Amino acid sequence: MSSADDLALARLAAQGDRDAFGEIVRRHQSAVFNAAWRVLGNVHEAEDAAQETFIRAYQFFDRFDPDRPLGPWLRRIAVNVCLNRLEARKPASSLDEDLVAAPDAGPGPEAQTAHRELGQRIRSEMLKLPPRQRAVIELRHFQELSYEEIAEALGRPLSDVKSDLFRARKTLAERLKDLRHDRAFER
Amino acid sequence: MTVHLSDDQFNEILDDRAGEVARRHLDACAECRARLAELQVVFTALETLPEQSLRRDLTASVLARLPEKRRARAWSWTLAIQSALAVFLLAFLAREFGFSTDALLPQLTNWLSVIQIPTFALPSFNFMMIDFQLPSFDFELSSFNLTILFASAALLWLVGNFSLLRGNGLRTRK
Repeated sequence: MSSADDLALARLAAQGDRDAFGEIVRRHQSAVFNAAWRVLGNVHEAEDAAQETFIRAYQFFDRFDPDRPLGPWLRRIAVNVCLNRLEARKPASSLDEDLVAAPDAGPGPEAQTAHRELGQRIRSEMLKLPPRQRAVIELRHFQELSYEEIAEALGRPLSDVKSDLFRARKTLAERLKDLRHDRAFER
Repeated sequence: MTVHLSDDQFNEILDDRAGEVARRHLDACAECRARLAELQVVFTALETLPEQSLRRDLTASVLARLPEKRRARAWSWTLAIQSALAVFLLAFLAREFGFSTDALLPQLTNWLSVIQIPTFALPSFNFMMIDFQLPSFDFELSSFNLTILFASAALLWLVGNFSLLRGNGLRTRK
């Protein structure tokens, strides 16, 4: 998919063209869903958050800057949608009901198993982070936003973003320390 | 006492944004290098995370839940009606409270001289000011009529601003 096509579709969608918007959903749903899945840790909720993301995007298309790519803009909305959901839900609610649903990868059965378990472990540790730290990790590591862009996306001070990012990295590093010597981790 | 890298400096090193001072410290400090190596495990870990496949196409359900796009025309009509009512109200009140166009030109000239705009351009507008008369309404200014007039204006103002707020999507925000 090209960003030029995205831009043409975005212009049509901003005028209320539902077909064009449908094409945008088809193109970006997987990336938006995965961003939501990493932050929420639940497939059902991530699907719902992805739908909410697209509905919000449709409503606020006049705020989309056509000089920037569409995908990251949608994923930023997704992270905000997820953050709202995480902050609204009770701390005791289940985060990892579908941790077992991580997809297979790798060549042999043993490698597949090891890789899947590793993915589950990492996701499990990531999901234990406070919602804001999770959102910052998603935006920095997966969406590759700068600190300033993260602060803008989340509407938070730059110093808070830096602090959350460091805390999240430190916590994950401590919890995943044993993986440094894990063969599966070396891939 | 050795001053080690701060949390922000570690972040910047991890994100390739570190300055020369931080990099030089890292070269010289084994303790900070060890700490950095621990933090770098996060990058490798997150890269290892697999993508999850969508179980179904979300397009149809998203399209089914889309709200109707507001048409700009509706808003323009609201604005036009509000403007017309405002002009009507101003003209009516100006006449009723004795405002005269005869006093307008000297006053305007005075204002323009204060803000240092040359007044030689004004005579060309004289004929407009002289010929212009505020509209006359066959309308008795009783307190009842005034109340109705202000109530109508307030109602239209509220409706117009409700449209504006709805247009900005504020109702849908959490």
